[in-house]
Amino acid sequence: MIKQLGWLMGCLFPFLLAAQEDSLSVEVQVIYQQQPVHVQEEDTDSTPLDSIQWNTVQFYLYCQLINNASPTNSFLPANYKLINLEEKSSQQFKIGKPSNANQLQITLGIDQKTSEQGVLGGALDPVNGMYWTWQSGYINVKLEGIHPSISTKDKHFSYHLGGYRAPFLAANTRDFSIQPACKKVVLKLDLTPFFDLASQLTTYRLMSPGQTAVRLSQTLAASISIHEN
Amino acid sequence: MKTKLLLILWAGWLISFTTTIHPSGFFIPQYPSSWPKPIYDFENKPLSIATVELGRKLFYDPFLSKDSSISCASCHLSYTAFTHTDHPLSHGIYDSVGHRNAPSLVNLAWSSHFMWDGAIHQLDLQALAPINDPGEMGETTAGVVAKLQASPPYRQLFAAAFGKGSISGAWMLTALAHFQLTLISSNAKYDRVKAGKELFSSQEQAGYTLFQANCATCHAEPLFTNGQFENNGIALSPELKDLGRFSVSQSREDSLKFKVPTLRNNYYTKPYMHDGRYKSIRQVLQHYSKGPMNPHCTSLPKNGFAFSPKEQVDLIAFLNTLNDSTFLFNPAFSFPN
Repeated sequence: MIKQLGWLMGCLFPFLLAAQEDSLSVEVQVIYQQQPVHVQEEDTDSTPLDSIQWNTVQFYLYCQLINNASPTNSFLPANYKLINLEEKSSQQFKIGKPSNANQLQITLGIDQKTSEQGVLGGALDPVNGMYWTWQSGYINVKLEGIHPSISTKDKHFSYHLGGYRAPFLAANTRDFSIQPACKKVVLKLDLTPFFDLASQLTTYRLMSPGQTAVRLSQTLAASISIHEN
Repeated sequence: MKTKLLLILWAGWLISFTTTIHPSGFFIPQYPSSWPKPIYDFENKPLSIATVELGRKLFYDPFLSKDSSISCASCHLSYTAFTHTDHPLSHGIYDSVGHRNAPSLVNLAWSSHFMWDGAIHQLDLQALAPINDPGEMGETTAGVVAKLQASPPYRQLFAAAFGKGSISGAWMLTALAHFQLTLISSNAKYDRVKAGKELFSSQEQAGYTLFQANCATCHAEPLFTNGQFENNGIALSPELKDLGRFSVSQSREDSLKFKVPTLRNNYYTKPYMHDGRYKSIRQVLQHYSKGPMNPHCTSLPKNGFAFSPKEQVDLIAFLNTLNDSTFLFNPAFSFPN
């Protein structure tokens, strides 16, 4: 019996090894003013007035490794990741790695074709609260909390960024070169430029698609950086 | 013979690996052959008896609302063509009142947009709106799914419909859509006349001629809607301030445009318009007989259609031929036993 198991493992070993080699680990970190972002339940009593409080940080990511000679724009709904800072496990995942891959393509938000489909499951299930209910379309990014610099009385901010219809497409794709031997990357999303722009626009509540959502979404996508480990 | 049998068995074995064969059997609802092809993709997303029955149970279950007082059927009654007769605006939990008239749920497989402003692009996502609206069912999608997961009878029904696995929002929404896709009304007198089984009376025929000349562009046969958004000239409600399609597209051209409703079963679907402002068909025809009451209207002549009183009666006679009592009293659509 043990002999047979050993023989089986021997046969499977190259495949298991290959399966391990054919993937890239991605760790997602979210920062604001060079500090890691942590979410907490809303608590206006105990939070000092001079610091920001993040109550919700959720966003959709689509990461795929490609070769820059044959770029692709295909999106498989099952490969979308919903990053939720309340769930540590959502911040680490693996993606398939073709042998000739030299670019990591990252899309922040849900592409138009996927958005136009009917109801989808898994990370895209509306039960996750990332689908608008009064209109069709995914909320690509949900950021909620309290910021001391906001001029409104309650100091709350709430951004539900999305939009899949032209001219208000809010999903943005970026390409990053990576070394062929790379096994792990840290994807950093810096919320500082986003909040600077939002403050400049004095926009602290945004719940629908439009030009402002497009602009803020572009700023967020431009604030993604990749660090190879 | 033996070779043929083996080939068939081999083909069946191959198909079993590429196609999901559902134990309860898939089906596509029947509709008149003269109708256009449905927009809903039945071939790739067919219905099953189990998903439709589950959707029917969900549709009639107030369990979906926050305080278990309101079901989909509360505003979409089968006996009034799945709308809320005599109620200008939809109702919700805690006696709340919504801001639009509940539309009739009929022939939905031929719709590409849902709601008066077309904000929803797929039927299987539509139920999110009433479930999550604080002025309607006041629940959350996650809240409904949690209740369903905690219900042994529903766990059984979902397993029969979708197989093993935890009940998801996607499954609940799919089931609700599947039931609603079966709500096909195609047995009015109009349909029987078109099928050569009956004749219009002379008054109905006169009304039909008027209808074809003046109304059929927007209320296109055989569905009696063109599925588009039109500004039909009614004035902006100062209370509701509803700009219709504009709220979705943010395009000025869409200001005060609303989805053209079907006229099928019109007798039962009163009051009319997106805010239920007209209580009778006669009032609707009086509106169309006059000129538009807002400056952005493009679908009504400057001075209206100027229907005479006799023409209005003829039109009503024709419109009555669009009422389908077999649809209203179809036991497959009523409260599940």
